Amino acid sequence: MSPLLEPFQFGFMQTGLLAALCVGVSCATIGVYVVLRRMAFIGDALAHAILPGVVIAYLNGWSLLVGALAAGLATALGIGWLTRREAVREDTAIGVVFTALFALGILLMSTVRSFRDLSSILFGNILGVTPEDLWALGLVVVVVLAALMLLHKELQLTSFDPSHARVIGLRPEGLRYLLLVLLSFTVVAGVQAVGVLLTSALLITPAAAASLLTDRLPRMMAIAVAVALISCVVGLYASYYAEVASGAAIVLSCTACFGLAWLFRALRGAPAI
Amino acid sequence: MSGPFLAYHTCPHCRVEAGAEAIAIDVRDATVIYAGDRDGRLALDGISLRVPAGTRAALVGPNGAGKSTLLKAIAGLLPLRSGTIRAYGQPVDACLHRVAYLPQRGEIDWRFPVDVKGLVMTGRYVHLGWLRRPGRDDHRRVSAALERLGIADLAERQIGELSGGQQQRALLARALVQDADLLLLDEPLNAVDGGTRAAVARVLDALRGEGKTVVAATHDLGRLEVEYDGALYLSEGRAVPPPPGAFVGLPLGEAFPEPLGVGVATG
Repeated sequence: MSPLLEPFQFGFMQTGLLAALCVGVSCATIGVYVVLRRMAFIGDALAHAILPGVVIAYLNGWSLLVGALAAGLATALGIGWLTRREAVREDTAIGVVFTALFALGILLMSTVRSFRDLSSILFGNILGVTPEDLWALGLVVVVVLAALMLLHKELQLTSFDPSHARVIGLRPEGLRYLLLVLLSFTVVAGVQAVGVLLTSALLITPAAAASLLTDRLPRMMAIAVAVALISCVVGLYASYYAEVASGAAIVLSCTACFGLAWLFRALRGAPAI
Repeated sequence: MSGPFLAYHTCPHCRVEAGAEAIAIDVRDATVIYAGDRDGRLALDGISLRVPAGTRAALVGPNGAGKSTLLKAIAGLLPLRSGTIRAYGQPVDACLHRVAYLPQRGEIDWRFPVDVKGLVMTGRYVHLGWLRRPGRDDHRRVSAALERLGIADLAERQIGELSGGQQQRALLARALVQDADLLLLDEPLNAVDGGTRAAVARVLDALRGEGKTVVAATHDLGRLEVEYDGALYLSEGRAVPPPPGAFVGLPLGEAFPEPLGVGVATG
């Protein structure tokens, strides 16, 4: 059997590959908005803040995915609400909230004896994805892609010219909330693959690489998806043949793509941003 | 025009024919507080302004005089603390598609990956509403507007590659495809080239012929009498008498000078 196909004779590798594809598509597409709207810190915060939800779900024997989603949504709405006030600066408010939630998650985890089970939450284990998880991940992809496609006009406009959006009757804050909710769905998917500590890498690095190569939004999303998919596949092979952690391998593959994009741009003569 | 179901904003007043009202903008004793200012300092302190439909009005004053604040308030972007603003007889947020607002260039993220025709197309969004994609007619209008402003050859460029003057032309093209009756322009000719200045002036003059109303903020006293029909002078959030010898034209303010015709002065 060819070395390329050999890993995928195993069911867990097939599930892992499908899960990686779902994660790659959802993270890379919404990641373009995260990068363009300078929401990278919020993405990172969301990934950390879902930890207590996951731990509580684990302790009670609920679905980890549901726990993560609930915590992610609560955090997204909480950040949206907090940053509407002017008493605390936005990045400060986010920093206070997400570190507190992450600490709460760690605290709850320390009450559990078998840390091993939860280490996959921190570092991801895409090969441990169950078929039920896969259905949920597929649903996330469909929801994220559908929302980004149907609201393309409005998300684009509110990203670069919120004044005009407001004058014609759109509510940029509402669309921002929506993006935060979609982001929390996506982050939960990313946690399955690379864990809470590295999820923001999947959101940001493919989109950042794509932004070096094009200045058209649809093309940027396509390139980001390609980068994420290639990285996920490379990461899976690395974990199979070199027996390294799949999440870390996926993230470093993304970083390598970013490096190549940077090099390509530099060689082409365009000024690097 | 989209049905009310998909519209961003439903507008019950839009049956009125464009240009049927004599007064496009009627601002009375408008007071606005600086955003986030805890001392409650006033950005606008009891401004009144009346702009007849189909004219070009200039708001003149130094930086910080309140010109931008007044334009934003008319566009519905800033809440009033007191006073009223009516556009075509309706509250400011009633007939959104009739108002086009051109922000200062610094308020737009020019690095965003959208090309010039994409930027101009956002002027059609108010007519499209949710879920609807631009159709052939929308694309035709965008091409015509780019042509009219002399930037058709830049249609495929990313907006950040444009010069300041070209960016200003693109914003004006967007206001044209929006087909608004009232155009609010914030410093449209600030630091632009002579070609842009001429192109913008030509389009604004033509708009007046179509019955459109233009209100522009400027700190430039030169050429006011050529490019505008009337001027209101602002300083520190209040209307002030025009400097000696300065252009006045149509009376736009409340107290000075003497109203020319019956029914122009308020109260």
